[in-house]
Amino acid sequence: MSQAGMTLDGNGEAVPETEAAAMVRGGRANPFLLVPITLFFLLLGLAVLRSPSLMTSYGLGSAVIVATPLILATYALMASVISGRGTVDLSIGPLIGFINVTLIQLYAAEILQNPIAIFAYAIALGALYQFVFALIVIYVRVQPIIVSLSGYLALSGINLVILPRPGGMAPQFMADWGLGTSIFSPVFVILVLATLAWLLFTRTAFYTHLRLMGSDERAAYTSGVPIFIVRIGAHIISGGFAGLAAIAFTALISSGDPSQGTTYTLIAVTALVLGGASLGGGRAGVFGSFLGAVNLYLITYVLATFNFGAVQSFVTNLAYGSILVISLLLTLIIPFIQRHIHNFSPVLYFVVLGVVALGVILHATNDHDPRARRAPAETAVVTMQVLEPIPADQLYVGPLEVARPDARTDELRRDAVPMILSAILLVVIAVFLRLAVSRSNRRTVAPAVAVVVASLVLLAAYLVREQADDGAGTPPQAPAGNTERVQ
Amino acid sequence: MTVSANPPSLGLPATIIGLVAGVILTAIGVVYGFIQGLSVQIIILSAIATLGAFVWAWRFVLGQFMNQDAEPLGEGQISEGRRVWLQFRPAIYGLLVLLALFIILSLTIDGFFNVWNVVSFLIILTIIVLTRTLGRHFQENRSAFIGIMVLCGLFSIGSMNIEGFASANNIKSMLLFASFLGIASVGQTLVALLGGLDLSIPFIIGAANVGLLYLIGLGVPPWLAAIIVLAIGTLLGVINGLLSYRLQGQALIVTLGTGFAISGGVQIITSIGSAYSGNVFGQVPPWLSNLAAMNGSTFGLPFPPVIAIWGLVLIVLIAGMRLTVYGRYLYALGVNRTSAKRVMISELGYWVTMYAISGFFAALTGGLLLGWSGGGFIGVGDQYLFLTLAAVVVGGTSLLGGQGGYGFTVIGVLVLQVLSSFLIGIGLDFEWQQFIFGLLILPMVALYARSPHIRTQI
Amino acid sequence: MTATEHDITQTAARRETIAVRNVKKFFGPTRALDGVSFSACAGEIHAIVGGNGCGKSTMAKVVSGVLPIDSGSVSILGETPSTPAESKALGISTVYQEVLVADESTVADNIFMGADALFSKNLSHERKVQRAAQLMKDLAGEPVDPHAIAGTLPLGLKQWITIARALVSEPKILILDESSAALDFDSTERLFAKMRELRDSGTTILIVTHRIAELIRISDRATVLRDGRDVGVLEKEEITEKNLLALMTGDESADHGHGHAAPQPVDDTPAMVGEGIGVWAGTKPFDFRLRRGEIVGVAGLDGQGQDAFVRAIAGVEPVLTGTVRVLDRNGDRHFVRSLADAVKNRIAYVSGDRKREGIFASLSIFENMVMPLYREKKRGGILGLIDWGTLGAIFKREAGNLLIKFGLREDRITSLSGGNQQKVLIGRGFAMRPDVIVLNDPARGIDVGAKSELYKHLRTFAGEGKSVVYLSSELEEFIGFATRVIVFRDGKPFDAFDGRTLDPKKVLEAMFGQTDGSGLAASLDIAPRHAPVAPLDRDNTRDAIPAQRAAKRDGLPRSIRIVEFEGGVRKARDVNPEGPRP
Repeated sequence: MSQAGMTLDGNGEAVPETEAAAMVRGGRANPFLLVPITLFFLLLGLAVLRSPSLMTSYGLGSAVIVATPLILATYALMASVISGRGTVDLSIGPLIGFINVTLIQLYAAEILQNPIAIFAYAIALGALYQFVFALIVIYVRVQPIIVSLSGYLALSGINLVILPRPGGMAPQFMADWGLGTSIFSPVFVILVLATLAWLLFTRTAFYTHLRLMGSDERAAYTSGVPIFIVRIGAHIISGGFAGLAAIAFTALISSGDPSQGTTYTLIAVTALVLGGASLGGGRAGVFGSFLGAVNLYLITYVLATFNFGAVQSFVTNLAYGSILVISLLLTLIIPFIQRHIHNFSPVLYFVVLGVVALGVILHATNDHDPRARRAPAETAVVTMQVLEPIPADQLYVGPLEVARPDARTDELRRDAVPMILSAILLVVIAVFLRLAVSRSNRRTVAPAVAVVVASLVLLAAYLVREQADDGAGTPPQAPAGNTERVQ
Repeated sequence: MTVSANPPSLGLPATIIGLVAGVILTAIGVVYGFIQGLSVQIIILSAIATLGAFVWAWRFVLGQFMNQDAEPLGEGQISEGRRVWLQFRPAIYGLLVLLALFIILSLTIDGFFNVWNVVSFLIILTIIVLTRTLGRHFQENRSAFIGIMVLCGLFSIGSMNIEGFASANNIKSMLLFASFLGIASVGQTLVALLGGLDLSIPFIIGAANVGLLYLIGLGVPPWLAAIIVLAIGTLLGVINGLLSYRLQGQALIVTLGTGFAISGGVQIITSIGSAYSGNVFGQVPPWLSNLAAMNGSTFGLPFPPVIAIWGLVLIVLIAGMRLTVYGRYLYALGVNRTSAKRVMISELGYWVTMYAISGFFAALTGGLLLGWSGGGFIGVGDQYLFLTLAAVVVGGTSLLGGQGGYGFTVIGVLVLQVLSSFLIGIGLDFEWQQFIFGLLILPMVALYARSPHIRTQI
Repeated sequence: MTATEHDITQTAARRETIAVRNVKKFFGPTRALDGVSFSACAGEIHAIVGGNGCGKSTMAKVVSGVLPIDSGSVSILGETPSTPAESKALGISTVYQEVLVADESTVADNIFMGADALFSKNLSHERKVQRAAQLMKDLAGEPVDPHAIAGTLPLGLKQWITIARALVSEPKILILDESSAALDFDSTERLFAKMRELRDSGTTILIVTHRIAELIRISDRATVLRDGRDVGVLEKEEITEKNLLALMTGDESADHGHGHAAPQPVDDTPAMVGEGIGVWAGTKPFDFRLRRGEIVGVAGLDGQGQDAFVRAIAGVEPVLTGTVRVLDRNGDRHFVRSLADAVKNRIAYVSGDRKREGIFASLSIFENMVMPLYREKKRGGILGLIDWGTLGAIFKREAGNLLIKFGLREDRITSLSGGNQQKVLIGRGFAMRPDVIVLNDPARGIDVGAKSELYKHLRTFAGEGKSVVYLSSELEEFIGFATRVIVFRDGKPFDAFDGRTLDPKKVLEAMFGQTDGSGLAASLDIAPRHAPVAPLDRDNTRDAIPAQRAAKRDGLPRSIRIVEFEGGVRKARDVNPEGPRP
């Protein structure tokens, strides 16, 4: 390959200049995760400030239970949207509903009892549906959006036939999962396993084929990539995720609900877009999809803390819609960012913001007491989710309110200084590592960042744990809210 | 161009196969008729009808296949029988499948085999044959032709099998609901011609529905309230248009997002100071009720004015699309936007205008639905989310832009409406309708809007 | 030098690897291939050559397994691949005309696209990255980050990615379908070097091209196609431009432009004046003057700024710097900044890229022609009713003038052949009754007969005192047709020639930067900024060019011209490696 005849005489001199040119030519990573990451930490900070009880074992546990079906539904969309041709599966919601209602009915008919059988059934049904979907797209050659529209109508119809109104009983073991009293619930395990499975999948050649096909199907076809098999594979994976989402959904509501379809489709598509996926294909990731879905959950959560009373769900709708449109508009500025930032590292950005957010969390949880003293009713209201109108003036200044400093707060802040210092130190180390590595020829900073992230997670877990211990001693805090809610 | 001009000439084997199949079919019919103890006249009539229609169908189907495949198989050395088999295979398969389906249904469902069902079966057969034969000559408007055939078939089957299906009242109610769907689909059609989508239509319908009643409830004169609502609908359409134009290719998601925001925003506004969130109460003015209610009258004629409004919109739109500069430029833009740019057609202008029209008609539908139902409800438009799309697609307007038109959508609307009435008539609920609509869209699109194979795109 | 090496390989391996017998391929009514036969051997560079639309690209797709054939037989290494995957497994790699790159993936993934099995990788990622970096450095001549996202790279590098992808599997047969289109001169040299290297190691290389100069230099054998048939095979020694052209065009149409004198403007009234035009950033601005009644030819290697120039003067895209003004009948000057200005001041633009920026595929022939007039001829004020009567008359006139062959005027434009589609578009331009018509390579893909009708029509048009700017990628088009020819290089005019004394050899040399650019300074109304002679004062000197030279050229036998042309190419090749670089 590297024979002397390759480079012409005149070219040898040109190399020094072009080397510099090549370094700036072509960016490595896309800054598409910029928006979801930023939004995630903004919302996380806001959520923690508004309701510190999120950062307790109970708060996180219920967050996991509520968010997991959405996250998994977004994964399902992600797997098929990567494959290109604008495959945004609108039928994802009704499909989850379909698996949900059939599961409930089969359980009631005592055909499906075994947990393993239930899992197998859900995943197989999702995969089967998506398999048929893929076959239609490939062989009938109808636009995927039409197929998904058709599936949407057909499935939402048949769901109502199978289970005319919400009801039924989920298997007992699933109902237990839905309580969400701890982070490490089985639903959480499903989520982690699903994420890991996708990450493992990304290591295979199949995933490379999938991305290449999604980005340019004709290039893939002419290069000998078996595009039909790859497309079918993508859909089957999507179906598997849909099955898992249906199980998580069943666990969440502990019953059957035939009419959740519309909502889930719309929210999952929003989450997908929010996560920086390209609807044209070729670009979507588990990290972005996860963040997108979590962002939507956090939006709902933050809005819930404002307690808009009767208009709560309307405000949520308004926020979903506006954030979707705004995040789409933000993607317009990405080419400009790309022009200036060539080696954007989402991981590093995540870590930096993560450290900042950790500071906010610490602030919120440590400053919790004075706030609770000042307005104990509000904290209780927040955790109880009681719908009670708040005065209009609070409605507008609410997001901006900061706890009034008093002696105890100052003391706590002094305590927090080492924390903040160490956080800053971590940022510095991360930035330093990043710079050092980008000079070398190594591919990513992943190992170094992984270490930092791991230590941060450990720290956060420790703090949450300690917080929970503290909370047990002080009445107005989260566990109290927990008991009140149960009542 | 007509089929009768070149009568298909069949080979002897083909004629014999056809005759034998026809006779067998007739014999099965006759036997069943006697088993069920129907009167002899009916049996004889249906036997003659079966045989006649089958033989006719046979001639036409095979004639088409023969004309088409006359040349290429000439050089092979395969035997005569095999050649005939290869040539007519699809037709034979199709007829056998239909026959098998009919027999299975007759065997399994008690009382299924009666003269009306036989006639219905024959009508379906006729439609299929006509679509296969005549449809070839309608390259441009094939989907419209198929749509009209399906419409006629459905309507005749419906009026035979369902009591009161063809009654004036039922037709009136079908037209009434078709008007709502038709008016709501105006925008979707126009936007689809550009290559976009507008999923905010149902949300604007709901918002207009609630908002109009809210304004009336506040004491705003109803006519002013209606104008305000229509203006706001148009404005929202403009916003949709601007956003969708900026975010090319993502119209689906953008309009979904704005729809969510609109619906949430309107509900927040209407709920302020109201104890009953989501529902608004108020007095609908009588003229509005008359516009859209079943028992409304138009200048003394006994049908609701909304049907007349729809008819007017229909005429204006179809004429406008065909005869005016604006209509032709819309098509030009949908077909090839770069070429359109070279002849100075403002892309942004058309996107904004079409979305604005879409917003206007969605708001109009919302207002009319208020007159029909008499109470405001935000979810009134929900079923239009995909129904408008379905009407556009079933009618034959391509979602990629540049092909189709409002006339096509009207056919789509009527097909959906008659089908829905038919399904209600035979006792199927809303959920079954939705199921069948869903399954219907796929073959309809597959008939005329398949993408080319990837081989041909390189 | 290559000839001796070639002789050795020829004796070593004269094994037939591709055998195509009587292949037919139809697209609906169009006969893309109508009985083509040819064969290629191991260790040779075999060219498939022919005019536009002769079926050479279809042939490449058939050999690489993309398109199935309707009849005939294809045998490649003894097999008949029916999909690209099968042909890849056989050891066939193809680089297609279009740059097929997955924009969202990295360079390394793009290069190794299709190299892996379905689930397992045949090569570790680190090896791939290394290999990709090495390959791109060798091919593109500059280092490219193998982790870079392909979408962020310029087109030239993307083209290299597709070539690297074809090379990475070490193919037994390499098919290059117009692969040098996106490459500059140096890159083409590197590609040729690589091709020779592969040829010497026993690979069959099939190149599909219409660039005659390139194929004369590189190919060992050439099969010429015309109208979907193979019309001859040329061995290395026989591959000359004369032979190729004779085969490609057929004898009856070879002499289209000759026997006509290039039209000359009746007076020096300017029709358009451009001052300080710059189409590329950082190039020296230049002035441009177009007179009434002249046809200005614009030439240049692909992507040297000539395309941007004609678009700019037609108002399609704004100029980067400077102004373009058009003069109306009264001599008043109007700025051309946008398409609206251009249309108002009667400048028409006809693009050669019919599919992308010309036709409206699903609309009728009639509508395609009169579309821009709808607005002008509308009735009923704001109602905007279309005036079918007037437009029908215009359609009839233009269709008659251009001899467009069509069935019903309501038929879709796609029912016409490429040449007739192009005529409809040219008719669209004429229907607007322009004073200046700008044509951007309009003869792309239309047959010789249609071309000569087009030239005739444009000559008549210029004869009426109107002006034509005509960009073409085929130099022969200008002979006996253009009043003068401007050659672009590096985003600005490099040289200019008088149409009466036009010598394609000199034009070609100018395209490769081998002339002194004296034509610009001489008298041809196009000048670099701050040229010693003020641009507007030079009109009188132009007439000093002796007219008898045109007559001399007309008397020149065609064959001599071609031999000279070929010599020019040879010379260009010899000179270029040391020649000036951009």
